[in-house]
Amino acid sequence: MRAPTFLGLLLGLLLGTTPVWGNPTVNPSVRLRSVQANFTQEKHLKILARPLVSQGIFAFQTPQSLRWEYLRPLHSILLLHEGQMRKLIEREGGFEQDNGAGIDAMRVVLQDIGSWLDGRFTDNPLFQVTRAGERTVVLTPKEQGLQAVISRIELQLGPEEGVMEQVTIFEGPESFTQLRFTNTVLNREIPAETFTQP
Amino acid sequence: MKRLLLLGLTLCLLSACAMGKGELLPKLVRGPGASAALLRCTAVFPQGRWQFVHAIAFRLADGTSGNALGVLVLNGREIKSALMTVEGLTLFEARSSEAGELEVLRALPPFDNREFAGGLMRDVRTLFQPPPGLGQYGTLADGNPVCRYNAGQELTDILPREDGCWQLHTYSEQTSLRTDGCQPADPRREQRRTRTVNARSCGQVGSVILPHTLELTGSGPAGYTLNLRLVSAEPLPASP
Repeated sequence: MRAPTFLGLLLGLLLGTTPVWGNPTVNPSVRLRSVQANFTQEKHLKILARPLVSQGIFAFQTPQSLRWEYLRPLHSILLLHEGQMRKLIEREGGFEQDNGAGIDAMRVVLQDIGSWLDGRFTDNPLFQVTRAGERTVVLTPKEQGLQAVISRIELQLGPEEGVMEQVTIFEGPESFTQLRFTNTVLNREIPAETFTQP
Repeated sequence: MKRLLLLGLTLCLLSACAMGKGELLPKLVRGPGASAALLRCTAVFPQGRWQFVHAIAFRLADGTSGNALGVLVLNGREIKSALMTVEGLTLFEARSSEAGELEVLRALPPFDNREFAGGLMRDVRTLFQPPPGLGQYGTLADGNPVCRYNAGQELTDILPREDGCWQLHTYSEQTSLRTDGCQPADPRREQRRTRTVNARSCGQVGSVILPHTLELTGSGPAGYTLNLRLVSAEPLPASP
C-alpha cells in the first residue's frame, strides 16, 4: 500500500475540487486547469493551550505544477515543476533547501494527481467516501495502518462550483488540522516562475 | 517515510547515543555570593506557563540534515511536547508530569519507542528547565562565572552572560579507553562533556528575556547539532 502523507492528502483533497466527487450536479466536462487560493491552517492538539495558526498561499496548474507556501509563522515553500521538486525553508534572510518528509509526500501527490484532476477521486482505494450533508463529504481510511495516522477527513464544499471552503483532517479525538480557503481563483493562467522561484 | 525514519534515528541519537570523548569537566574555583548567583543562573530559564513553537533544524556528524517543528507547553516542571512536520503532521506528542512520569499520547513510527520519548524529554528539560541537583557558584580558569549543578549521574554547568544569553554544558562519568578503543588495565572514571547548549540572540518577550536561537550539540563520534529557532512564545495564564 502506498502510504499517503499529510501534505499529500491535503493537496489531494484540495485539488479534488473537480466536479465528480464534490458536487454531483455540476458539469463533469468542466476540467480544472489551475487553482490559486489563500489558506489559514489551525492545528489543534490535546497538549496545546492555544491552536497553532499558520497562513499561506497555494497555486496549482496542470499537469503537475505546484506551489504550496506557508507565509507565517514559519516561511516555507514547496515547489514542483516539470518533475523537479524542492522544499525551501527561510532561515536568516535566505532560503535553504530542506530534504525532509514533505518531499516524500509530494511523490505521493504526483502519483495520484492525474486521477484527482480527472474527477476520479473516489478511485483512491484508501478511503471510504460518504456524504454527511449537502456540502459535506467525509473520507474514512479503510486500512488500519492509515487510520493510525488519520482517523477521518471532512470536506466542506463551497456554494460555488468547484470551490472547497474547508478541510479538516482528524488525527485523533482531540487532534486535528483545519484548513480554510479563501480568495479561490480557478483556471487562470499562472506563470511558470511561480512554480520555480521562491 | 525513509526520511522520517532518518529523522527518528537522528533524534534518538540526540539523547541516547551521543557518548564519546567530550572535554573533561573543568575545575571550578568557588566564589562568594553563591545564592544570588545561582538565582541568576536559574533565571535564564522561562518561569511559569508558556507555549513555545520552534523551527528545529538537525544536523548529524556525517552531514545529514532535516527540519521539523517543535511545540512545547511548560507549566513549572510539567512538560507537554510535540514534534511535527513543517506541514503540521503530528509525529510525536507526549507529556511529562512534574514528577517526571512520561505519557506518550501519539507516536508514529519510527518515534514509537520509549528511548526516543525519554531522550526527547531529557533534551527538552536541559534546554528549558533549571538543572536538578545541588548548586555551586564560582569561576572557571578563564575567569568566567559558572553555576554547577550536581545531580549524581550528571553534572551541569551554566555560564550566564551579561546580555542575558548563556551557555550550558552537561557532563557524565565515562570510562577512559585506550586509543585503540580497548579499556586500559586500570580504567579511569572521569567526567566528560556530553552536550553543549548555546543560547543566542536573547531578547525581551513580555517581562522575560528569551533566546531566539538555542543550539544543542552532542559530543562524540555520534555527534549531532540541534538548532531551535523561536517561532512563537506565548505566556499562558496561570493554572486554575
